[in-house]
Amino acid sequence: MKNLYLIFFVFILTYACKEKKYQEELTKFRYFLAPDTTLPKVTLIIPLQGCSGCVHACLDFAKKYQSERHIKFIICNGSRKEINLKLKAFEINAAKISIDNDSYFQESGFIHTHPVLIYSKNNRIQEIRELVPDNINQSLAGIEKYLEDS
Amino acid sequence: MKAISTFFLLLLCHSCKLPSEKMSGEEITNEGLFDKRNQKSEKQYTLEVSKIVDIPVDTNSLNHSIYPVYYDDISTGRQYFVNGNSFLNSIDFYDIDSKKLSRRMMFPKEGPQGINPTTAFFIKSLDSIYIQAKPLTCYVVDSSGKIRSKANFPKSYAYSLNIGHNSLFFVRNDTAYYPFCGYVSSDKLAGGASGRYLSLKDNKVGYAGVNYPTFFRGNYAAAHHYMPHITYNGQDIVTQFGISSGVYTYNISTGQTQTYNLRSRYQKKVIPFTTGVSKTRDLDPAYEGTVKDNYYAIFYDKYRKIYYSFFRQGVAQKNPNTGKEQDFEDQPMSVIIADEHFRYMGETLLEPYKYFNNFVVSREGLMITNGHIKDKNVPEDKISFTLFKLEEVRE
Repeated sequence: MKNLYLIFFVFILTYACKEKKYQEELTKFRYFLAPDTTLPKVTLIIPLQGCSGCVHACLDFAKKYQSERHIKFIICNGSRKEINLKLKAFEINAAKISIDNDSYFQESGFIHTHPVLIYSKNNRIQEIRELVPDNINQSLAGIEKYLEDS
Repeated sequence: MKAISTFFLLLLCHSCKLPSEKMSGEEITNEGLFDKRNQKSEKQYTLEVSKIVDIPVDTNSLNHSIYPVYYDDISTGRQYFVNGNSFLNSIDFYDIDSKKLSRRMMFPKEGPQGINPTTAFFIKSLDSIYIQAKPLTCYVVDSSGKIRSKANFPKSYAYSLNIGHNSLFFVRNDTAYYPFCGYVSSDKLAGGASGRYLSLKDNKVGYAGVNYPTFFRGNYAAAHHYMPHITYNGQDIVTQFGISSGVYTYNISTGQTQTYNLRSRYQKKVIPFTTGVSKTRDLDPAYEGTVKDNYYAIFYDKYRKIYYSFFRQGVAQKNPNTGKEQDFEDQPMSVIIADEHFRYMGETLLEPYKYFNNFVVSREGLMITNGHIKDKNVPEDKISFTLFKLEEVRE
């Protein structure tokens, strides 16, 4: 019986920590989205400066899935000219994505030099993953599967 | 017989003795490097601003490069800043003296003559341009852009060649040399070769370059701290890692390596590895990239036979005045000048928030692009450089 309580306690603690873990990020994310917006299931934040291979892989992905309503694409860390040229080169419709003109995600410490993938469910952040060369292909392939399953 | 043995022993001892400024290979620890004093050159220098070079760019071109290349055409006397334009899939030659786009080589993205992207390249001559494109193919093109030959890395090399604006690949004879990093972890890379070569003659791939330091073993660092930065001095691959003041040379002909110390005067303590993690992904990139110092790049200046090593000083994660998060672009940067024996010749702290990370060694001096990434008012219709020249410091 004691063990059962212990397991239950650990479970609650783990869950509570997880919720708390993304609280700060959730606040920052909501600030950008506007407080009453429903969190998209998947958000891909793409900083144009940084790992160029990662950025290209994400822009290729955005080109393919720009009309997918459960995915939000946010482009950041680029000048107006650079963003426009990149969108044109990757055939991405500017109306279908968001642009962080004020470097909000960078200045709030949300992103650094790699793209960031956010999984959300029921208006809560489930996972935040930085996309680096050794996980990017697998992560992008995983988005499609996540949308099918959720 | 005894005399012969003594002579042989003496000879052996002498041959094993290294000159004082060099150290034995990759065995020295990071702490050992930090504790070692720099060898100093008799004369000390600083970098002085000489002039600003502004080159107009068109609406399809950026005011910076992800892979800046300098080409000195000795047959015509012209010098060029050369940039791969990913939007047009071209290689653009900007004449530094006339300040004009003088040549644009366009490439189809697909088909038998297709190359994509054209952003990373080495110019041996206008008739021998080596373009490192996806997927892991190196093309040799002539002055008309026609592919003359190509060679491929195996698929397992995807994301393993660490070329970029602060670490350019180079070609010697018909072999291309690259910094290599498998994005695994500093622990796993320890002791393995930090470079690879690709022969354009027979498509042979092999190891080249100094081994990753053994002090990486059992330690974890963020990628920017363990990825090798290389420069070529005509004989050696010169390598630096972000976490250490060590400079390593690898002689391509003999395979001999040497270790030197070239510490920034702004490095106040050993750049620590991170404890309590078992893989690179567990590291906090905000902390690693902001708070810790970083040896960012090293470039050889063949005109003056010196090196420029770029050092970034760690800063607090939050700006104490504004409370805003900081990142590595907030780090002050200095340029260490060293002679060909890696003796410290001086160090210049660059004006903060003024420059972008494009460094070009030209006939006249060191060129660094103007326009900090956090400055929203940088003009986008021109690429602007500050030309720095060496100035002797007289006390």
